[in-house]
Amino acid sequence: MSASGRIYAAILRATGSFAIVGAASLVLWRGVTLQDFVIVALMVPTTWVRINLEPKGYVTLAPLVVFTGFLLADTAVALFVAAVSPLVGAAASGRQQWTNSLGEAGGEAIAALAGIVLVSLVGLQLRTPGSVGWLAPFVLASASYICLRFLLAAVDAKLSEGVRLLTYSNAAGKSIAENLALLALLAVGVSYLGAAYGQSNYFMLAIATIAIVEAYNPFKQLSDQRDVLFASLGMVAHAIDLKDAYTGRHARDASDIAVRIARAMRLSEPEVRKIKFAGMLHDIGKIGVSGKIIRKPSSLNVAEMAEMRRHPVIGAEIMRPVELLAEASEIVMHHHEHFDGSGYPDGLRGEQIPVGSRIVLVADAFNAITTDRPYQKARSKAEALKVLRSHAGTQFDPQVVKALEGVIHLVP
Amino acid sequence: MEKLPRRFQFYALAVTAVASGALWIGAPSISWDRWPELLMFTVLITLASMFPVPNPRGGVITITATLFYVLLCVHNPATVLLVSGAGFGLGQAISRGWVPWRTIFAGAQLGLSAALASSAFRSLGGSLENPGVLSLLLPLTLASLVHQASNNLFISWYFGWLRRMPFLRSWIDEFKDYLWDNLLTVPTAALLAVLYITVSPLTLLLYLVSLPAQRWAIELYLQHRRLFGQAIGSLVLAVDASFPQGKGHSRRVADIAVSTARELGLTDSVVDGIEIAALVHDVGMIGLDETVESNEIGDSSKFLEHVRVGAEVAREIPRRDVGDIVLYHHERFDGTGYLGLKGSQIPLGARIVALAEAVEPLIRSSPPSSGDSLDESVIRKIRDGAGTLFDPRVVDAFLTVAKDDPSLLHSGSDPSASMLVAQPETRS
Repeated sequence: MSASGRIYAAILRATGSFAIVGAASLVLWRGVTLQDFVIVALMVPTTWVRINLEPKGYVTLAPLVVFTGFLLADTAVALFVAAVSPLVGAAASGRQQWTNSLGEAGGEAIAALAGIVLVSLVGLQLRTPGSVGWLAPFVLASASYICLRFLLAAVDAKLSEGVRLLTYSNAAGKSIAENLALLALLAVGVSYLGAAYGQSNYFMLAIATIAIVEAYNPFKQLSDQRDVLFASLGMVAHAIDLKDAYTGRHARDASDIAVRIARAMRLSEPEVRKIKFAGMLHDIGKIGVSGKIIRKPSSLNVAEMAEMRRHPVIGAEIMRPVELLAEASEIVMHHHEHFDGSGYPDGLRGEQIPVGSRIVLVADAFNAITTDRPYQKARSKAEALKVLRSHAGTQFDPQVVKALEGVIHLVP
Repeated sequence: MEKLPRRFQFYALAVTAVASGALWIGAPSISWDRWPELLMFTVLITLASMFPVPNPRGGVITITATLFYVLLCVHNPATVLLVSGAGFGLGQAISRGWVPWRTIFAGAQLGLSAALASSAFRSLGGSLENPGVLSLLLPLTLASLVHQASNNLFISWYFGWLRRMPFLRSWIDEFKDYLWDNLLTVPTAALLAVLYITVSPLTLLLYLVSLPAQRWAIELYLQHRRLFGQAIGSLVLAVDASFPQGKGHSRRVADIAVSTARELGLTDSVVDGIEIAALVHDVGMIGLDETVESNEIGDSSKFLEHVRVGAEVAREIPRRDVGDIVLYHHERFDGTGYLGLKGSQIPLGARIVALAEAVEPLIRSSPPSSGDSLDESVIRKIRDGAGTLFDPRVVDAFLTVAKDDPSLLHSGSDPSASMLVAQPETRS
């Protein structure tokens, strides 16, 4: 990750820790009511529903509780819920990294705080729905919350994955904004119900929240399954690396580099996804090649070379029947074609070679040069780039090499 | 199911007669004055029973249960009997075709179940006046259980005959299978019932709007599951190709492990984990040199390495259980395995996979003439291992499955209609 990305993440984490401590002390200092307890308790089921988005970002139902907090409880409670929810979610699902959650806590806290501060700046006050003038401050607070969550997510995607703002707002950004807006609407309904049955009856508040959690459950399951699916590709990539045993991360690093190049070349997101899969699995065909040939430190004889050269074809054959990978199989098939037509298996040249294959070839070579191998020590990124440049036009597509130069500080 | 057995016709007739009798007795209390609501419910139930949502756990579910539970909160039992029976019967007739016996039976049994549940709700003091845990949630939960139990009773009575299964067992199985799905509908139904009374009956329509979105998500979920299966499948192909035990080994181990795990009564999610782990249990083998022959593998230190490496690879899947099963699948029950774990220290999934892995080659090499049962010598070998190599409980479960479901023994389905086979390993 780039330096700016790291700084951004550190700032978010610091904000997150600060917000949790600050909001908690504020709540304690003002005094905790039974209702605060109920609202904080509702955080557990709502944070449990977490939907991860492509290419980056997430939606949980915690904002439902934050918005309900805006309407029914003290602003400090809302802020506390926002800041703590990522940690509670991590604990509830039991597989998040705490540092990530702390960063998310920072993002949530900034968004909630922005809403609260904006409302008090214009001299309004958040109140129970139905009372005089409740609508304007709520709309203001929730709208600024939504805008900030959207912006922070977009910045995160830009810094960590190189996704452009426009691309992001058409994909994950849109889902974030839409879902948060829906949750704001639902929160109004939930608060109405909660308020209608008096301050002592929290039953409806809980039932309504749980019903919403249930309605969202299929989407959570979908997201979980997608995570497992992508993880399984990571597993396949890791397994391929076992065959070529100098690092367990080559395939994934090569894929990350390829994705960076693809985004720098402004390819569409579906194309980027194909390249991501192809990058991870480009050597899957080597599984069918004897390990003795692959790991042979000396140069190969003609027969061995012929066998080795079959791996892109075998790889494409393995991937083609798998729906998710069928499109990427074309890229894998040609990832050893050279720009001047001297590559294999088909000797394609220039633009005939799928752009994904040209990118994967460069990413693969770059990562190979910058990691330790049995016959060669790792070299620096600058040296690697020099090697690539010297072969640009013959082996590599000059445009791809140029794109890599632009993102060189971002790749592993 | 064109021609229904005579016995079923009598049964359906009896159920219908009881339902009609109940309707006749309750007729005076039907709230005809609220006919627009009754009409809306009938239409909604009809629509909902025509709108099957794929169940993530297989088969389809309809979302009628939620509607029944709202209905039984807001109307009296006789009305519930009429409306739910008519709506469900209509839905069945439209979606599955008009088969008089079946359609009328479906409506009658459902109407009866819902009416029973409605009476239960009322007699338990359920009301929407001041909704709370005791006044609404508890009565509605119990009513939903009554509804489910009664509905399952009618169905399993019939299928008990048809499949010659003991009726009580199939009833309990059915009840257990749907219990969780059923309980999950209760909070939503409670909310909708309160909204129905306090806001407007029309709020039910709003709920219906969310259903296509939910169905879309579930369908996509199932698609992802399939894709996941394929992705794992491609890996398994690769693993089997570079492993002496040959193609299909991992898949068969997984089949045996899954059936054994089901027999042990493990939940779906746990069984899922065991299946994935069983499929990839040998993934570490990819890194092994082909010079390691199958017979010398037993005591090679490289072999231990494959277990560690395999577990590391399997940990890419964000489920802890999978990695642990792969890591511990060569442990022995008495603690003399590689890592020295003993008895219940070894994850149950790993004990199951250990047995499946040992059993698979035995089954495969046993003569095909042995037909539908395990060879005696094989059974003896497996029994001998109980307590030392294998968990005796797992052994019992496996032997039960092998007896009940002989198809397991020759699941010779060959998923590798493929490419890796065309490229055999060159072995020295």
